[in-house]
Amino acid sequence: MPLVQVLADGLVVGAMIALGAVGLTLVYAILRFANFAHGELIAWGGYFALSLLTLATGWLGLEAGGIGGLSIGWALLAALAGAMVLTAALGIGLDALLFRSLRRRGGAITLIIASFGAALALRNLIAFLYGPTPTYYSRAIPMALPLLPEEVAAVTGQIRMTPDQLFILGLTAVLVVALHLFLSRSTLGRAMRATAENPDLARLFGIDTRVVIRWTWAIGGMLAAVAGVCFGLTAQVRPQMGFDLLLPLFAAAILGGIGSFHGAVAGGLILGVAESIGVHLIGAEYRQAVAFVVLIAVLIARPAGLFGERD
Amino acid sequence: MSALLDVAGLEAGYEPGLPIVRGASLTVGEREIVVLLGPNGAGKSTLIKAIAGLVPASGGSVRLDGRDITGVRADRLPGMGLAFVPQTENVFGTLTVRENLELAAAILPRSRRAEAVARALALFPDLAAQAGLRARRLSGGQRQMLATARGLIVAPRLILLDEPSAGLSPKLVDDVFRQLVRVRDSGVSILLVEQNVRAALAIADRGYVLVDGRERLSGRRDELEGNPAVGALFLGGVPAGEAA
Amino acid sequence: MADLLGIGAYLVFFLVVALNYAVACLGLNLQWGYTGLFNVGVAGFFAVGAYTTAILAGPDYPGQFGGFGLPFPLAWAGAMAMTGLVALVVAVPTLRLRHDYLAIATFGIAVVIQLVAQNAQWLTGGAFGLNLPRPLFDAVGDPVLWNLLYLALSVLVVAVLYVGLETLAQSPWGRVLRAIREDEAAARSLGKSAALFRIQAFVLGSMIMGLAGAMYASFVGFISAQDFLPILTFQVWTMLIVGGSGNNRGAILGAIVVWALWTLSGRVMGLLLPAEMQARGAALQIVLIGVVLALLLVFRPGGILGERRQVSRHL
Repeated sequence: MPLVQVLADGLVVGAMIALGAVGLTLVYAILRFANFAHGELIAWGGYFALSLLTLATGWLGLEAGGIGGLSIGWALLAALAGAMVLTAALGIGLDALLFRSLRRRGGAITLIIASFGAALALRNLIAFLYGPTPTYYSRAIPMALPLLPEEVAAVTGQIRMTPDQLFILGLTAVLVVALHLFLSRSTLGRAMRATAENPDLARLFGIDTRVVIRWTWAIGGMLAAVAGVCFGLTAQVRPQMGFDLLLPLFAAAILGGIGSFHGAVAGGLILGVAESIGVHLIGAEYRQAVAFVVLIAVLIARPAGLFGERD
Repeated sequence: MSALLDVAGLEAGYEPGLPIVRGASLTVGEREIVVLLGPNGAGKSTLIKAIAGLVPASGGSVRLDGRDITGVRADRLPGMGLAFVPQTENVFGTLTVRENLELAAAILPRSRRAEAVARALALFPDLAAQAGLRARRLSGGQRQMLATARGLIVAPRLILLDEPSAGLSPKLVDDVFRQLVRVRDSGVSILLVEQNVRAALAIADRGYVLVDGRERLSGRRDELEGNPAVGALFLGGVPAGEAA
Repeated sequence: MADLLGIGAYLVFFLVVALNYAVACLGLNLQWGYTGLFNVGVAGFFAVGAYTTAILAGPDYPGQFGGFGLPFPLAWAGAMAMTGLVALVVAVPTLRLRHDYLAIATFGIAVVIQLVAQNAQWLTGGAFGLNLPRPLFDAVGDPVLWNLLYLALSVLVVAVLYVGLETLAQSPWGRVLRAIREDEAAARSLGKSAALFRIQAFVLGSMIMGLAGAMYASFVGFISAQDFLPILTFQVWTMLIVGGSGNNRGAILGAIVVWALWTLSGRVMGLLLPAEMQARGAALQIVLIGVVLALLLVFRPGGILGERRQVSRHL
């Protein structure tokens, strides 16, 4: 396989990791704990979309077929939008039922073990409700298109990507730019940055930090749902999918400097490419080991991450 | 006539059953600078944070303009006319000067925000020149100015300041305190915690001396300045001669 | 009479497994209860101990690494040493950093160990797993009697660990660990040596988990990747939290109580659900235990997690 193809595949995986890692890092920045349940938001996003897809094609009669060369049709887009809302609600609900009362009393450690327990419960709830068998949004087999002109491909090797993969890259780019503008320009976005830096001072500025926390979960949940649906599109929808993504998410967030939005995006893309190269060299079964190696290397060489500023 | 701020028998602390403020009472009138003095560990900072809603009150009451604000969430107080500027970490270092001010102005109606930010920058010309700079790059004096400007931006009736002179050079302390007099003259009342007794009493209208979580002495500036007991309370801190 | 014997035999089996968990729980207590170290990879260290035992003590298979046929005391010692080594790999880069990083790194090592267990056929047997002889099984002859003897051995191991850990807790070493846990500032003032103490406690605790894995492998005589899923980590944590962390007696008691509840709820689930739902029933059981743990954390936090006071860090 030409190197450019390995890199391109890595970027697609990296885009999904980045979407997850951004949510993870935002929750870390605002609430200051490593949320082991974040992967399950991704899985739930994927399954919400699966259920809504059935609804959309069955009851609403939306066309199941894809738009253009995509396997994604209006039905799946509607399901994605619905899944984003539901996953945001799941995040907010999880916080209201579990994390909020623990925050008031214990330290970050209690939150970590609680999130670990919540992760197991959420993951197994999927297995209970949907069964353990992997499934797909669409049975269509997408056609991979050559992207590079022949003259270039003759030198570098050809890149082939499916329309779905290009859609994932485009959607991720749009979401990242939108979130960047939100965090830098909007009052709520600035309030989130302020709360991340110093929650007590944020309250003195008149910021209701409870609202900020709810939005943090909402944004993290929505991005997780997108990541889940993208994962379902390119791989499969399965109960383990969130768990399988968790280590790459953490590695990406720490690589970028935990708490840093831009760092999480960059960390996700770098990690995706690293995984792709790793899979190319040692085989797909050790994909997650790449994330672990990156994680340990960052912790040894530069624990603040590539872009981190704070301790 | 009731005072603008009326604190009565306030008890507050970080841990249940361990109050640091133990029944403190004080008032701040309209257009008045009131200074809160006291030895280290007397509970001055805790008292001011309890008034600002950052430390839970376990007894007593806080009234602002006759309205009970005991236990009101800290984030609602700026909108009710009370601003608090902490001693340290009082601006957001990762936001620019302008972003800090715009964020504080966000509780105002949309139409008044831009004007409020412009007014704050006009009050502190030094800041206006640095508006695009991240606040962590400011000097200590500039940072204190930004913190004060932030407190004033919502046009509060009362501003609480925790040691605005901390860490500043004597020249800057004079600047900051002169600024406070102008703020008072513009119609804002000020409650001020200070270690720098002489400089604080120089601009204050009245003062309280807090010991062991409640007020031990109080009076007009001249009464406190002439009271040897004030100096005696600062043994090891500020020499008696300096306070008297 | 036969029923009574059956129940007795089952009770012996149950207790051996429960004490097996208790050993792992004691290891976690040394890390979390004594030192405040957050290990989310219990299953991984347990697995290293189990696989090392199987490789060292197991019979020789063609194309398979290991089969050294070592006597059990040596295999168990090797298992502990190997687990300690793996723990060192995680501990050295992370223990000078924030506690979250240790949690994430231990989670990572457990994932990697799980991958190796599933895929490295030459080492772990992959999906086929590994067989190993059960110590003195043939010499004893009667399986029920052998279980009883193994229970006696388990009791002995737990007793020795208990006395050893209690002695350690009272020693100057144990007091330093507690100081590190209680007081971040004190820990920081100890600087490098605090990290050294943390590493020692972490490695020793992991070795005890490795021993638990070794005992498990020797008891069941067959291991595969399915035995070391993340649920194992969660079970051991629940045991420690229910029993009361920082308390060795609690760790042992918690292991027995939680394993009893786990077994019972599994039985109930098995009776209530039709056969085709059994796999989903196992999932539901985990959901319920997860909810119970969450409720415990929310409603019984004091005394359960040794909650620490936290005053606002800001202003």
